[in-house]
Amino acid sequence: MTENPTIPDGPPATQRNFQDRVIGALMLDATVFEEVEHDESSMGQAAAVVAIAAVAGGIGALGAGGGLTSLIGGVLLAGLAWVIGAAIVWLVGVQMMGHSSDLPQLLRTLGFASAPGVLRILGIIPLLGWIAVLAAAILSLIAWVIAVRQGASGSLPPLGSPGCGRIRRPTRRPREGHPPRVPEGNGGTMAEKIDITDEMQAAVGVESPPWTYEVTTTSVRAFARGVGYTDRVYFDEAAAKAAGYPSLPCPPTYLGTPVFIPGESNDTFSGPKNSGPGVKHGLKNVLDGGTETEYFGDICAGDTLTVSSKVSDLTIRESKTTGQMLIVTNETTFVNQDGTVVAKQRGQGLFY
Amino acid sequence: MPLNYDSFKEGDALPELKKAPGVTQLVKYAAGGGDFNPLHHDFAFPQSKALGSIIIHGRFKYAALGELVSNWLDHGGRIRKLSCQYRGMDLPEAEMTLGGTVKRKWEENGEKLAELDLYVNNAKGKNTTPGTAIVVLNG
Repeated sequence: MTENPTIPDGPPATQRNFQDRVIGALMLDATVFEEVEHDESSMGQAAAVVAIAAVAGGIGALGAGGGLTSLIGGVLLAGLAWVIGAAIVWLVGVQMMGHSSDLPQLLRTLGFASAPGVLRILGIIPLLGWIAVLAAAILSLIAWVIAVRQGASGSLPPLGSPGCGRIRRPTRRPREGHPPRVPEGNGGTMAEKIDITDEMQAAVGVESPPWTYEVTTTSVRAFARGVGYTDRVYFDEAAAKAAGYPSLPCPPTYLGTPVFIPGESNDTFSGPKNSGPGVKHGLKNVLDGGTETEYFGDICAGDTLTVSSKVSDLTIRESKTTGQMLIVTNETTFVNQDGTVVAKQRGQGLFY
Repeated sequence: MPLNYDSFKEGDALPELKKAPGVTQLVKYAAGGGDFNPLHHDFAFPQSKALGSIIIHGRFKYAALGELVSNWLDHGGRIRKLSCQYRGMDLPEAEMTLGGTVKRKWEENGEKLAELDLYVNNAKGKNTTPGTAIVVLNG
């Protein structure tokens, strides 16, 4: 149920160099943290950022009477704080709260979160230096929050996925006969500068009203037939029971069929029209980035699912072929009749 | 035979699955999956005309990756997580080859797990829909 069908030759991979990453981290660009989270070779860079920020802080403190000893001590302390900080986040987030992430990922993202610390070098300016130090502290704190979110959530693929067809339509649809352009090589449409406005940000995290999705023997067969399965377990109840299911199981990626009500349902994509507040970005073109489904329980014919979705993240990414892209991540949650969360699906719409 | 944790090793390839859905198959998928975007069945739709063809639903390929993994498991386990990225269009009637490899297998908290790398190769051998899966084996 991908709302956006135009799937061209993919969003171009963007890999920044060290300098761009540091600047990006300084500007609190979440995609930088996402990138280093997935780039296992960037550990050295992360350590370098920690060291550079600490040296900058040491130099900045020279004006306040700090010397060479405190500079070296500051670097060692910063390194220690980095490792211990990451370990604490890892212990709390992964061990206690069950996020999927590993310590090296957190070390990389948190290392880059030290980037705003380079501003502390301005502390050397007499009288006004403290403003820079204060700004660095605030920026560092924000960078930490972004880094922790990125490093400890960590389960989405770098360019992931649409949540159950709930990718928001662009508010301005492409005119008929002018389909979204397919970015190939350098021929794509360059987007104007994208800003995430307060209004757009306000839509993040707001759950849509729940909608009922049904799983029936007929709907399971219809899906399995549509995909082309020949496995009897998805068609024949006796075979399903023999395989250990109470009834026909949902084939992977099938999470029930939304109840269709004319006027209330989307006539093209079948889901509810009211799927929460949209992100009003005004961008004309959209690509479907990908889909991720996480299962927490079985879903079988006879189940009734209560489904709600939300925009879980807004990120701006630079792309070589399309200019800036707005990445809208949607998360859809499926709860069965017993109140159990049986699945979550995440999707990414790439708007440009 | 349901798959058993001891019957495969890291680096093993999943048996490949070939698909070349035509328009009728895509109509069946639209009915089953609920996506009636004309781009996937109507050659007269402006976007189809502009592209020169209708295209296969991204979600069809995603579901087909699910079928690939389901066939391999043969109900000897469950899918814990399945993801894919849509990187290229695929056209009806053109043969796609779906496959994957076992990236790693491990036991954790009493569960037997395996991570898979998946692909949907088009006729030219380009992976248009790379994916990953984590499965839990029953035994």
